[in-house]
Amino acid sequence: MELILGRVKKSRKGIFFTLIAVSLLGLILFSYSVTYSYTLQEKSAVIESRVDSMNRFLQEVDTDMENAIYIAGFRALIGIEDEVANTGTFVTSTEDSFEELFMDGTIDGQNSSVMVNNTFPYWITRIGEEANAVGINLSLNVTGVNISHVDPWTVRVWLIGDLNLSDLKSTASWNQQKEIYADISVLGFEDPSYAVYTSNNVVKRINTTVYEGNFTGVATNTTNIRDHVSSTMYANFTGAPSFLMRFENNLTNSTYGIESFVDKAEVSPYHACPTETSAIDSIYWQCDNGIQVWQVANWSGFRIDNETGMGNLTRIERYMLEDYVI
Amino acid sequence: MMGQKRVSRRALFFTIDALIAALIMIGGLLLITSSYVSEQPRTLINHMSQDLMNILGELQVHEMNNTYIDALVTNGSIKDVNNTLLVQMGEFWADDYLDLANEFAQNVSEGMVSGIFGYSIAIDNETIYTRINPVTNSLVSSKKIISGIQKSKPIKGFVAKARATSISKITNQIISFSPEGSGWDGTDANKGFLYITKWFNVSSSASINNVTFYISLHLEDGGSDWSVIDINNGTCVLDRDDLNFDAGEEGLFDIQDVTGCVNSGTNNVVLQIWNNGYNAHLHPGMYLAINYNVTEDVSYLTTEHSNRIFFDNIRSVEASGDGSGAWSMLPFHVPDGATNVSAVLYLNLQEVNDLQDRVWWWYNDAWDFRVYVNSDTVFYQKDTGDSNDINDCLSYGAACGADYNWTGSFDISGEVVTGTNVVALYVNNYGDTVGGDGDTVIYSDPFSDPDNSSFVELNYSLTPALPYGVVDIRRVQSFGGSPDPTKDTSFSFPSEAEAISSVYAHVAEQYSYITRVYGDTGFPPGNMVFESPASRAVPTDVFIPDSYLDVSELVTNYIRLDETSGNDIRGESTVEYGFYVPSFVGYGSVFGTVGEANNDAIDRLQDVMGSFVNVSDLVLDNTSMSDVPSMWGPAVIEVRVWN
Repeated sequence: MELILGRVKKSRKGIFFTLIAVSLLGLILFSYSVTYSYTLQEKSAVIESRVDSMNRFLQEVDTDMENAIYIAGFRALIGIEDEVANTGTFVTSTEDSFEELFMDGTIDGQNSSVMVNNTFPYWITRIGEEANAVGINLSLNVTGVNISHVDPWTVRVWLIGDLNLSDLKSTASWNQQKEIYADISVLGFEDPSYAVYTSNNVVKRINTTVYEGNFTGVATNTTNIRDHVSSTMYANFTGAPSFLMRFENNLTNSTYGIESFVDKAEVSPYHACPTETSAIDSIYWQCDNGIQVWQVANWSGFRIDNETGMGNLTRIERYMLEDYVI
Repeated sequence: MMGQKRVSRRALFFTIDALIAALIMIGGLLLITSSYVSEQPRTLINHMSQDLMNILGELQVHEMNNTYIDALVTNGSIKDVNNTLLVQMGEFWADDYLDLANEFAQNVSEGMVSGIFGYSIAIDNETIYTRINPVTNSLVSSKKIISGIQKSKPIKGFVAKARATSISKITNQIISFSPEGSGWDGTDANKGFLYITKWFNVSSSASINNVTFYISLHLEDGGSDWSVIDINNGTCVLDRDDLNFDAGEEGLFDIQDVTGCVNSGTNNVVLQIWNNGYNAHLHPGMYLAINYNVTEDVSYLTTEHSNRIFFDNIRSVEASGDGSGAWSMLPFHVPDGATNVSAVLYLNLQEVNDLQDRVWWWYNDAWDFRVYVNSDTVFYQKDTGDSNDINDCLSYGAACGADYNWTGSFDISGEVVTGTNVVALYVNNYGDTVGGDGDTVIYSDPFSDPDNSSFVELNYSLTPALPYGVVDIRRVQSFGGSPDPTKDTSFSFPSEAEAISSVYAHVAEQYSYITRVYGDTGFPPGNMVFESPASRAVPTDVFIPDSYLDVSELVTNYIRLDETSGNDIRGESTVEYGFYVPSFVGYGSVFGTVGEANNDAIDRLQDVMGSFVNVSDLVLDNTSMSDVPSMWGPAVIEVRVWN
């Protein structure tokens, strides 16, 4: 019996020792796990920081892409303008020519000097180099470029593409479809119609009239409209072609139409039309003398038609000449 | 038993001791690791750097209520108030206005960052502004990329194009005489002269350098001397004996320097030729080559073309009852691509005889004049009851019939071909027969009486080769070498040539029959561009259509003249090639100032005009476009904040 008790006492001690050993082991495991947990936290902090940096870079790319679209788009418009002036022929499609210049720096396969190192892919290359410098791979596959008016005086260049951004160490990556645009004012650009129809002898740049709503008046009579005409200012009118349509010699009406009055004395040496032709540029270029015209008293040679645009507004109303035409 | 208890207590002691030691070690370990990771939170300055970057990148100049900035706007240092503050800083930096960039950066950023922090703004690693606080703890950086900005590059520049409105050039003008005649017989004492009068115009502002007369005539080489060539009413006169005949040859080919005889403005050349026993006439290859400087307005190519190609005035005078007659070969040319082509032949024939053919004791009507157009088949003849025996007049005075003047016109549009066309007109004579009595005249006076003259009026539409003003430069190149039935030459247009204006071969032959002309860009040239439509119908000018040539300076163009009869073509035959030099250049590179852009446009214009145009006499106007952005950079703007 005593022997049995002695064994029992011995086995209790064993349990005690075992418990102590298990506790020690638990403590060791606990301390290891605390340390390990910290390492994970540190790693995740690094990853978080990296992801944050990449995200900010992505945002910067977005912002700068607008900038790049503006620059390449602005120059592509100059490129089309230059091509039309140099060849004396209008382009078949403004949008196609624009995209070719924007992406390839060429028009009809010919290099355009204004696009050298100014195409959108050039920007992708440069921005890709910046990305590589901070350990990021950047690729942008442009799937579409288009240009259209947002108002008579502004064109919007849209770019659609798939952007891929990834860390060189494969920490994180982004795949996004981008639709980014930039707006470009057409003010200051040359009207291609004048270039072609006058063999580059008469250069007119798009400028908004300063007499909007004030073309004529009791005090000024026709002084303002005369200055509007002689200064070749442009007014918006939906019975006229838009700026972009003019590159294609599409002289039909547009929601974003703009128009000037040609100075017949100035342009007729290069493009003569019958006297009874409206001085509205899009009509004069076509020598369309089948449209009825009106004169203004004491204004030799001036002819204006009365076609409609902007709802039911007629041209004579648009230029406030109701009381002056004869 | 006691011993066992002691052992067990000792074990307990050791165990507890080990436990305490382990706790101390683990605690120490935890303390060390926790102190290792202890770090000041940097969230604040991290946000500060980003916020500062965002504010500078978003705020526009006009949104700043700041007297310093207002002053910069007023004095023109800031040109675009819609610039963001960062872009404006970048603009100053790009323009190398570092002090201004520094002041601007300080002014707009100082109030945004607490004084306990240091910060700096740098562009492409060049510090623009820094607040010099020592870095005691953390430093955080934010970066922004901006395309369109680069050191020493204009952010928004100018492009310009230019055109010349007036230029000075050196060029050549060819006044050609195609075969025409004839001065019939007579005697040495009473010569049957033929008088040919050609009027031509040289630009009124021309300064003539030299004039060479290539003379190709068939005339009497014996007997008494007489004046053959009179330029400008006696200004220069060449007698028969002044001309250099080959021994025993009535077919003369001579070259005379007549510089000083030809003036700017209207000129005339009167030829007085005669031949005893045959008719005197001009051979192919007679022309005046005038080299001159001229200042003139730039010309513009038009779509609609209407030209009158005048006959020379030809008057044949009967001598010693030998009869008179006049004939002329008038070439005119229709370029490639011409549409709506129409041609009308207007004739004013004077002192035409109503010729009669004597048949036994009665007379049949004989033809009085004939017209051929690009063919040896008669296009028209007066009268229709024809007989070829038009020389009966010489034998039977009654066969001469009455004199009459004839004016009228023929629409010859249906006969016109692209390239060289030839109208051949015979009045009171044909071949070796002559029937006119008294004088016979093909009347023409293009300057004083154009509407009553004899001419071809040619109309056609042609898309202009170039859409802007052009300068037409013409060069003349001799075939050279010794006479041969087949002559070849080649040429290339110069690099300045933008388009071909027109190219002619001037065939010089003493005796011709059927001549063929070829043009091509390969050798031997395979494209026949002209073949005499009838024997001896060889005009001095043969047009080479553009489609057989290449304007590239890298391409050689070949011209071949081939006389099928085996007669020689002379080395003095020439090719006259005209080309357009543009008087316009489009946009070039982008420059920081309008002056630089304009100067670049002028330089480029001068380059494209090359050596053919005297650039010092250019009158230019130009137009520039401003605010043209460039894909410079991207510049990397970095904001650092530290504490």
